[in-house]
Amino acid sequence: MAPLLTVLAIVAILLVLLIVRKPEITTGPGGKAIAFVAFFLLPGLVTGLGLTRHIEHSKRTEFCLSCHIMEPYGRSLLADDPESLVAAHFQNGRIPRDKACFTCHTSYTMFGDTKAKLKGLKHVYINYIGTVPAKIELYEKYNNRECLHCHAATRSYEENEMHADDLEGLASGETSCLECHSTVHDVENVAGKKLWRETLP
Amino acid sequence: MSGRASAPNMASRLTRSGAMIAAGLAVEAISFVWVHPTSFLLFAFLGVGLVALGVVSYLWAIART
Repeated sequence: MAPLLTVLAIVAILLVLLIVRKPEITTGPGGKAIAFVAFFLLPGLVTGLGLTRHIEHSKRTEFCLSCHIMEPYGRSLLADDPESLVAAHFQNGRIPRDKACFTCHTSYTMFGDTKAKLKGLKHVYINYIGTVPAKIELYEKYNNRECLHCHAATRSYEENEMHADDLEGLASGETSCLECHSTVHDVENVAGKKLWRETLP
Repeated sequence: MSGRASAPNMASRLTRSGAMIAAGLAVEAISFVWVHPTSFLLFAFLGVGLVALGVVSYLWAIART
């Protein structure tokens, strides 16, 4: 989509420059229509499609990991550690690898994606203008809803002895999934861990 | 004053809005090929801002003719 959008933007620029250089072509009805396309429809189309492209792109793993501060979090996806929750999910394809961060860090609610994007803007602001905290923490406690979006009603989840004893507590959030699955990103120790692969697949 | 813009006025308004739209689209085009959160900021604040200003100024110009 990016090359097509770039070509569309260049076509729009050329059309705008043509009209600016020869404004007399806009005097006829055909010319007015061309001006409307060049000055309104094409820029609107490029901007609208561009916004969609940027929003979709911001869900990608490499987008999240493109900031230096996220480097250990990216490394944690590749850690050769069976205890690591994120590594197990990423390496075994339990989440889409190209949208690994977004899959677990969006909220599965009506405006969850929008909220995730707004939080993303806040992250960018903090990264460039604010002060990055020494220890990065979630804004709020991790909600079981995000885990159960995929795991709820699956056989392996419900028949697991530990889960079966407290399905209601897990569903209500009274018991956090992270109480047992406590090794998540483990960024404090990830630097010394052996890696499954050197780079993201 | 008839309220109608003269041809030279219209041409200068088209030049002004065209310059903003072209600059905004150029910024957007660059942001499409650069994969980084900064490219989103460039797109959202500079690109969209310039295009929006240019489009509004164009619509204002044709509304006055």
